[in-house]
Amino acid sequence: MGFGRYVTARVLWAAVVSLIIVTITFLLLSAAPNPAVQRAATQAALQGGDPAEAAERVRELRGLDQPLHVRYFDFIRSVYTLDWGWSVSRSQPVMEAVTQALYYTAQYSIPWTILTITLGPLVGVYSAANMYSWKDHAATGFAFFGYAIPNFFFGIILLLIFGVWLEVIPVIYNTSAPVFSVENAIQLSVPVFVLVTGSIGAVMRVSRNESAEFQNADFMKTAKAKGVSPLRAYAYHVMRPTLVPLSTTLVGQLLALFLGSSLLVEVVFGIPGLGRLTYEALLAQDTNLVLGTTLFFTFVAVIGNLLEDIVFTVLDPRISYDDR
Amino acid sequence: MPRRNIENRDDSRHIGRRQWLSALGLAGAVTLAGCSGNGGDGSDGSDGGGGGGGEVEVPDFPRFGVGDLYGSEVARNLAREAFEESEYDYGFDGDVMVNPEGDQVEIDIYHSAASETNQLLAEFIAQELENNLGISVTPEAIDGTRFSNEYYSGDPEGGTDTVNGEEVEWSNPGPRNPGPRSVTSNEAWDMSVNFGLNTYPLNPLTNQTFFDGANANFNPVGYYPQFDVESLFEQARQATSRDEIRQAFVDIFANLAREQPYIMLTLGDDIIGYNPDLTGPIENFSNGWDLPAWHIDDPSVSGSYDTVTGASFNTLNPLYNNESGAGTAIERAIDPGYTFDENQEYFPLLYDMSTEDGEVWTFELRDNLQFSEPYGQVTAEDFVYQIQEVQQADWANTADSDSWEGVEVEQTGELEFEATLETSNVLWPQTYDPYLYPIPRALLEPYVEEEDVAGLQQDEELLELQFSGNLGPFELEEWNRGSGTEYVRNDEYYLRDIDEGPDLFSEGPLFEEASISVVQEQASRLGALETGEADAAAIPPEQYESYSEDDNVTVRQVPTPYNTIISVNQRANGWNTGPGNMFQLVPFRQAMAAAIGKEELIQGVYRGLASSHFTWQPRWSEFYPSTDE
Repeated sequence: MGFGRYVTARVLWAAVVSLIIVTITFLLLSAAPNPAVQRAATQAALQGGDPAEAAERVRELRGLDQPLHVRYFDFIRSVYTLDWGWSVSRSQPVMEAVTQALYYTAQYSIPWTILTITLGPLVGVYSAANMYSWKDHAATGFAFFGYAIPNFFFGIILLLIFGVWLEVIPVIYNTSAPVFSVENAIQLSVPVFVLVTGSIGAVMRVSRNESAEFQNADFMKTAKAKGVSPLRAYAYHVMRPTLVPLSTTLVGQLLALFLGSSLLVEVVFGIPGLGRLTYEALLAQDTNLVLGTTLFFTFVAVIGNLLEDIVFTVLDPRISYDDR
Repeated sequence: MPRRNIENRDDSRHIGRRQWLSALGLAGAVTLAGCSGNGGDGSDGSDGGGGGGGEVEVPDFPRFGVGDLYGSEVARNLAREAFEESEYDYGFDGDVMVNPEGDQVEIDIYHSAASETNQLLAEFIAQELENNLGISVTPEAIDGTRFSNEYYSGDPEGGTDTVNGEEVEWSNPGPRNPGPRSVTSNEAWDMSVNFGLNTYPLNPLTNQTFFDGANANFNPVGYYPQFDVESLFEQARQATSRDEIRQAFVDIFANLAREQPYIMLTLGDDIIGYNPDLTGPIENFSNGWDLPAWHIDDPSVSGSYDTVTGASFNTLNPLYNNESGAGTAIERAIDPGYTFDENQEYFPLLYDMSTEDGEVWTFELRDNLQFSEPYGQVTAEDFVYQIQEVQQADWANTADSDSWEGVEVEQTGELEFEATLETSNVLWPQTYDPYLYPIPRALLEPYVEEEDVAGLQQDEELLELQFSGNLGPFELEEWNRGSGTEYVRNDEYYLRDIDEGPDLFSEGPLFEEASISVVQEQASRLGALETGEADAAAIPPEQYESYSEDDNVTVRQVPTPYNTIISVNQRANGWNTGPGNMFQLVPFRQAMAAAIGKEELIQGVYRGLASSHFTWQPRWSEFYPSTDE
């Protein structure tokens, strides 16, 4: 199988997977009682009307009296044309709610991800190069501290110190600050710091242990014997093989670029992002919005898997298309 | 802002204007700061003088939970009375209350997962019931909305049952009173402190909605009154003066105090921290009614009035909003028809209301009210159309539709219309039923013709309040669904030209801008208050002391009409520790009330910032029978 055919097959498979997910969602939804119908019945009962009649009216209004296959095709059409309905808990279209939230999430998750995947391996290799020195212990201590302290708690503490006591960052997140502005950089600095310290530990520890293996490898000895500068030796001869096993997680983390929303950090810093959107939709039993956010995450995961598979074959020529 | 009947103790989101519960109010209370409410007498709620009515004869109300009606002995004696009344063999084994099988009585108490104070309350109750009645009580945390949906309401079924020896029919069942005690909620539960109820200090007649057994709109606990509640309320309804109403309520309050339909614990205040430079806030039930006259430093137009709240808004559509937080956000941009001033007197905003007999009410609109273009002047026609074609229409399902049931409305002039009630009600404005926002007729017409409820709910002009013209102190600039609302000063505000009210109305509002930020985390809200980013925020009682010593914050206690109670499930799925249901027996509920020390509760949980609750009315209410102090 050539590369082109392989990619085509994978794309088709992704489409099938998404269709299966949407179909299952539809079946689950149609089996569950519809909250709008229940609300109408309840309302009618409260006002002395006939609950059954009110429920019937809503059913008609929403096309729920149509046969299953008609509703199914309607549903598929709306899902793929991005007509995801109205969010009752926010009084806006679901698509608008998701894109709005994504806009705020991306503003902290992009710097967070970039910092994690660049700083993590760097600190790890540095740590390995100075193994068992105080520098290594300091870096390890830092990694474990960030990993161990809960993000929301760390966030509150930092907000207290820098927001309330020192008053260098605002306590209330300003949604109207321009994306590329000093004000926005300042208000996002602490959330990003909290998230980076929380996620850098794992990457750093893996790269430290991986690179420890290569420090005394033959090719390192040769490089040193040839008089290669330490920086170059580490960058070319240690960092590169270290990144191979890490790349699997790195690809996943790159995917999380837009989605790595953190509910707790959003709550603490008052950022109206995807995490809060999903959580509040669940609490408010806002079916359309729950469905919208779930489908959104699902689609991104499907696309992510597709990209990952393709990227693997590009990165590593040894992987053949034949057995796939 | 209309008072909601219920307050959910976890996110302070008042679930519905026509509903009856209250929440801890920590978040929502902030927004109360900026909205009009019902009147108070200026007392702080904990030692208020009790309004008027010295000539009213008052029997001795039982004061369970204090003095000689508190403690293990009196509680156990009352419990023994209940055991005798019960057909099952409950009793005491030493200090421990046991069921017919001889096992200790074990019951659950639900509390709000989101409120620390509410959790402390549940733990305190558990401890008192254990110590004084030998009951093992387990506190369980739950989300307020979930409790409300699954435990506190049921599928309306109706039915008949014997109440006080008479066959009674549940002729109008609803989710909050789905039928007799055999009709239950989805989930079984014993006790809950998730919700407090409105005591309706402005118009206590509304309390019939809780206590009228089969006819009550709100009876999730399955309370059967053992006194003739219907005729007592009827008597009060016939009253033609406030004195007569006050007189009529003495019996009702005495009976409620005896029967403890809900175990009454405390009446609390909202504790709100303000910017110390802010002039305007008062420790009064109507705190915020005169917001256009509030100012920072000198009374000149400057700066911004910024508040924070914990819950985001579902909708700002005035026809469909039923939350108090969003109500505040709406009223920054559009005034409602009227409010109540600090003496709890009716204060006309858009319209004045008058009546001769309490049956026919005349609404007179001001002549300087303008919608945004192209809608022109606000006329009686706009209101009459809204009432007849939307509020009273079956298809529209507006939040206040039941306020207008059976009311006949007729336009009698360009700026005047009349409403005729089915029965006379001299306190009609106090019910908040005739509380309306102006909506242009031309905006509503297309939806009315199509009977398009979704379109009406989703109309952008309504959601963004784009028609607000000169009708509110500020203009809504942006509603960011996740982070709140931002406003700019309305330079054309009609209130500047009225004769009534404080002098400063002629220049109001005295801020260039305003905002309401949604900040979920309480610590962040308090931080914003301290740094001056917010001008008002609710303060939890446990932090009252530290903030009252803080120079950056002025703390005020604002009385609320909501009480703290234990709901005890008298329906068939309550009392899950053995056969029967002891909660149904009056002496048992009295025993519980006697087992919980109110003073200790107030000191221990509320830091002294609440008052004991014996009468279904706050002490500052004019209907409070004062001689039982």
